Amino acid sequence: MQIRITSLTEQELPAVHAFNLRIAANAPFFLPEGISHPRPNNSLVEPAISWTHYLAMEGLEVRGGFLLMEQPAVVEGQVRRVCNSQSMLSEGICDRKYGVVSLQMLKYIERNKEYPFMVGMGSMQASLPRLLMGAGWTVRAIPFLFRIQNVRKFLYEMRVFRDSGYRQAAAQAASVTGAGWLGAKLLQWRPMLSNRELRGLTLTPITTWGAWADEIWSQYERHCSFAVLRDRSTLQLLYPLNGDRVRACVVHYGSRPVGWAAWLNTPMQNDKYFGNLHVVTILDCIAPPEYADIVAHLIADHVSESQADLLISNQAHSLWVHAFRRSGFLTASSNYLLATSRKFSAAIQAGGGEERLHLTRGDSDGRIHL
Amino acid sequence: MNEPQANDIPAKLTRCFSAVFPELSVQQIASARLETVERWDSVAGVTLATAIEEEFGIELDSPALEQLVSFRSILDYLTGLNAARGLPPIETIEHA
Repeated sequence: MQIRITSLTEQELPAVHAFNLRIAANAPFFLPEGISHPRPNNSLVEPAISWTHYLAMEGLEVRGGFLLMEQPAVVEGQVRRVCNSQSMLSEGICDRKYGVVSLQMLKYIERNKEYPFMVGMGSMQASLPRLLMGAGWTVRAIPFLFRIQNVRKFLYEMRVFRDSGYRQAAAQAASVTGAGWLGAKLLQWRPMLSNRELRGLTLTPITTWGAWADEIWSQYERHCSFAVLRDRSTLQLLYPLNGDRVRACVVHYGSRPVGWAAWLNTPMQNDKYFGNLHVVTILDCIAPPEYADIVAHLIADHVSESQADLLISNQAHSLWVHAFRRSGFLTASSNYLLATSRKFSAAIQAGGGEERLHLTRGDSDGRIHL
Repeated sequence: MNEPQANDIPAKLTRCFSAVFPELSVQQIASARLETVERWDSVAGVTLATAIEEEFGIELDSPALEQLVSFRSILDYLTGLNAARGLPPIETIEHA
């Protein structure tokens, strides 16, 4: 079996369709049957972020595929092009004869991309994280933080409380007796900000990313061992504000921009985790360290005014984990994983370690189910 | 690359297989194929490839990865690699 890796073009679409039919019974998702990220024609300027679909071909047959999202990032203090691999799929999921295809695709990525990484993946027990660990990648969970705004609805709607009759009964009792409310208040207690601390600070919702984003980024990037660039030009692609999904704000101290945040406001409908809760996901935020606590506090209070039942966020950087903890957020087990190749993992260590790694739900396709 | 002694190769490769498939006997390893070993899935394949790379100090290229379907085919590949480096051919060790 000779496998070659090639980028997806119109020519391969019939073979992609045939592949999807063969794997249909076992597939968690499918390879795209259209070209959704067309390359710019005759562009002399490399786009800030580019997406390319690749296929693993055996002759004219498709045996697998994956998507690579390439973008600039700070790694070890230098701007590098990093590569996020998404949606890797192989015919090995339904025919063991093609089990080697995943390995071929992974090796292709490692040979051709200097800093490859993957996010999401569900749990450490899922096959992809196990495969990556087998290949020597480092896989770690990105901390999950949450703050309950509506305790009664939280206890009723969260699907984790419906896993067993016991849990369901306990949740109902906690709700009816008020013990749940009291418990949440105690656990989520945080000191109120004094007027002195708030003096001079303003939070302003935004509909476009301004030049101030470059200023904030320049103050923050030096505190990261790895972070995808979050300057004005990449933010316009990462968090487009011209639709109805992503919301954002900027925080000023006087006239000086000191932080920003982006979030999703999602009334869930029979979600497998959140039921029918109104969930606000703080996708991302950055600020110089001396402002992180107060920016987290202001952002959390701002988004909680939007009838949210639950605030959630995944934050890798210890700065933000601590900032949100001090804003009354709790932590729980995370199913949002980050995997980095051996070389990339070594670069992260050399650049200051995993505590200085900035990765959130805003990266890659992390927001896909939110 | 760590230059293995020619007759080390089967033993080293057997060690790699044992690490990934501890349930297999030495005899079973010698005849192991992707189609016949139940636990030989993508994850096991990647782990095996990594183990071989580390044990032999090599990086498996695309043609090499295509050989990762049986103990015998991998052994033949590594033997060929040895021969290409001008080392003496290995002595096949037959397991009773």
